[in-house]
Amino acid sequence: MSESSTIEIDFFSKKASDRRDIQGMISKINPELLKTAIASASANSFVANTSFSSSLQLQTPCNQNCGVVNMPVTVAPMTIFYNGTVSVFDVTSNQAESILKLAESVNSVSKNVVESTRVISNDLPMSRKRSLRMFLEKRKERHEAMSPYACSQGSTS
Amino acid sequence: MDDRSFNNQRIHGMSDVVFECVLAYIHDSRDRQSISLVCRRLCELEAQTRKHVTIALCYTTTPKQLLRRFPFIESLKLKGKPRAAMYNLIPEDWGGFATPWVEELSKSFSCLKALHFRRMIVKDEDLELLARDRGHVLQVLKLDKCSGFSTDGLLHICSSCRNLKVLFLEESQVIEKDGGWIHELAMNNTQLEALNFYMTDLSQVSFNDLELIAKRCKSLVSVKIGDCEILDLVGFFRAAVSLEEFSGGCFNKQSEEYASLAYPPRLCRLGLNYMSTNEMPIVYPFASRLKKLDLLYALLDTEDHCVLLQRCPNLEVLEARNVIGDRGLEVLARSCKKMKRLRIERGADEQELEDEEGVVSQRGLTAIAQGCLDLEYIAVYVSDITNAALESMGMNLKNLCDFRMVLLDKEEVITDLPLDNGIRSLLSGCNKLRRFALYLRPGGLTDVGLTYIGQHSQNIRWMLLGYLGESDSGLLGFSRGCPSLQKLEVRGCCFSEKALAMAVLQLRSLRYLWVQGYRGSKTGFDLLTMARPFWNIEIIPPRKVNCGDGREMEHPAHILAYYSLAGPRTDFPPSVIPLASITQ
Repeated sequence: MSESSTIEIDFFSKKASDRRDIQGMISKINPELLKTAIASASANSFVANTSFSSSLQLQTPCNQNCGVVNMPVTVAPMTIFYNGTVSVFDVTSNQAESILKLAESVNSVSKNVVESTRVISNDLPMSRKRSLRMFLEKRKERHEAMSPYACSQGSTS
Repeated sequence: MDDRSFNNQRIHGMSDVVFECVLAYIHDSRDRQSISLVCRRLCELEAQTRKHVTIALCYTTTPKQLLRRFPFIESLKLKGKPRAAMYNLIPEDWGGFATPWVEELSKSFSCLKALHFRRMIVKDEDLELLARDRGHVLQVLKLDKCSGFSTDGLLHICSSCRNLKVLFLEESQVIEKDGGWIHELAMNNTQLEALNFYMTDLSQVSFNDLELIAKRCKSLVSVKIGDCEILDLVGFFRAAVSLEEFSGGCFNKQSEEYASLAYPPRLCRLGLNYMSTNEMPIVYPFASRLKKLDLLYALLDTEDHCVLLQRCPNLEVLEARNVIGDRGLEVLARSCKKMKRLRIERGADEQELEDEEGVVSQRGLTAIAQGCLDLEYIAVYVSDITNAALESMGMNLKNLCDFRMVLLDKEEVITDLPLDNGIRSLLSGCNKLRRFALYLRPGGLTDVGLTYIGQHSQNIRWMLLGYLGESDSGLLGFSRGCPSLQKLEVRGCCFSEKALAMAVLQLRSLRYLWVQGYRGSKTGFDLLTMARPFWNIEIIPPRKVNCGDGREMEHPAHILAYYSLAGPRTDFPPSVIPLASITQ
């Protein structure tokens, strides 16, 4: 794959099952360019204004050299997280706008995207070890089964 | 360069032969790891003489990689699902499939005699393959908390593995079709030393077969079974003359015959299920011999525990529910000075089913700290706690290697929170600690306390943090310490994805992280702060789980991240999503 940053790869035309193709294409992109592009995404205010708002910060040495990528002025990197894969490619602002319009036209964010709960503190009930849970259930059954009969010894049986 | 023709090479002036002899005496895997890093020849020699390997997560490597590195192993332990699976938090189809391993093991590992799968999915076909190709040499098979197989698979094993010494199925979910497998075992095997199907639901096991096994296997030392009426085991107990350990069975009848039951003369590790106050006296004749007692599934109240434990001065291992109460722990501390391992589990929540006195608090813990000075392992569910109790443990329990404490959520007010100072004292006093779990509630430990944990856990390799700290800065303070921490589990904490990712980067020994309940972003991007080569990141998204009786519960998302030499998994179920790592 050439190192020119103006080559356009249309990931949206691919089906989800072609994930391997997509990953294959990403792996053929110059890794240095990929890292720099991702790192520089944080410096790109255009991307920051879109719904893909969180910036991706990798601990790479390229972080310092955010701006040192030779790209035509009207093209900027766009990072897309789709179905668990990460894709970066350079688009013009028009292309970006079309992609975003397309994405926004789909109703809500699909449930498959990671959407962690915001409040945690009381949402996590303490769970019991399976073996104990089974025993306590069985004991309850035994207890209920024996209750029609008079039991004169002990409080537990 | 270092090929076989250099047979009599010298390393540092000493011949290979010397090293081969010496290596046979070195068993600790960490020592062997160090040796293998010295030079290529020592790496080869060490690999050739390595007898046992434990793979802590089966997705960290591949069967082929194992074969290349350690081709002559005799024993392998493989673990699959995260520990949280024991608490029903992990989807059943999560993964941990034994199949690719069994295929390679059967084909290529000619020296393999012992196999231990823990929390993995094992199929009947896997067992059939193992029985066919390794049946004649297999001595130990442990399917530990596994699922996916039936008694048909066991039938293959029991028919073909005539040299089996250990068959261990504890807590596995086995589909039961019949009791044929144990009949085969009884007919074919005279070598059996340990048989364990405890806490499985295998009920079609004939006591006649058990008796036959006891008669034919003279070395039978440990038997742990499911629910089988104790009175039916008279013949079994009479025949099992070498038996030292027995667990299981149940008391279904109101009978005086229980009292006249004779137990094997060397029996010293015991767990009698559904044993109540009436049946307890049968243990008295040999209680003073008992080294291990399992009362987790007994029907005793607090007073019963006190009476029984007083008669067990040689007890070293005790497992009980919190019905033992503070009073029971005080008796334990007075009577059982040789205690090494103590586990107190959480009993029923409903009041009518457990003794009123059945709560454990700082009172019981302090008694244990002062009375059982040899304690190495303690796991306890407490209803109340103080800093002083933890300080007492730190001062007295110098041999403690494993500490686990859960604060139950029933009581609204706890005597003495936060536990910052107590935890610091515990950790600095118990400097042999290797494993540590602390599960509290909001307000239980401040950010300062969490930082203390980081500062005072030099040797701790595994930790579970539940509802600890107040904010991200607590986690970041924590992660500046913990120099030996390899495996971290976090539940119900208030940390953000960003903080979790940064903590991972700071914890220099960390190779495995599991989190459930955290402050997530809408997209999960912040997690990628920890993206790096060989680091797999997986998410189990939030899901609704059927928890029986028609109710549905919402399970929050999990993060699982670990180092792997095998790249991302290739067998993801729909319930697990990978975050592809950015590789170089």
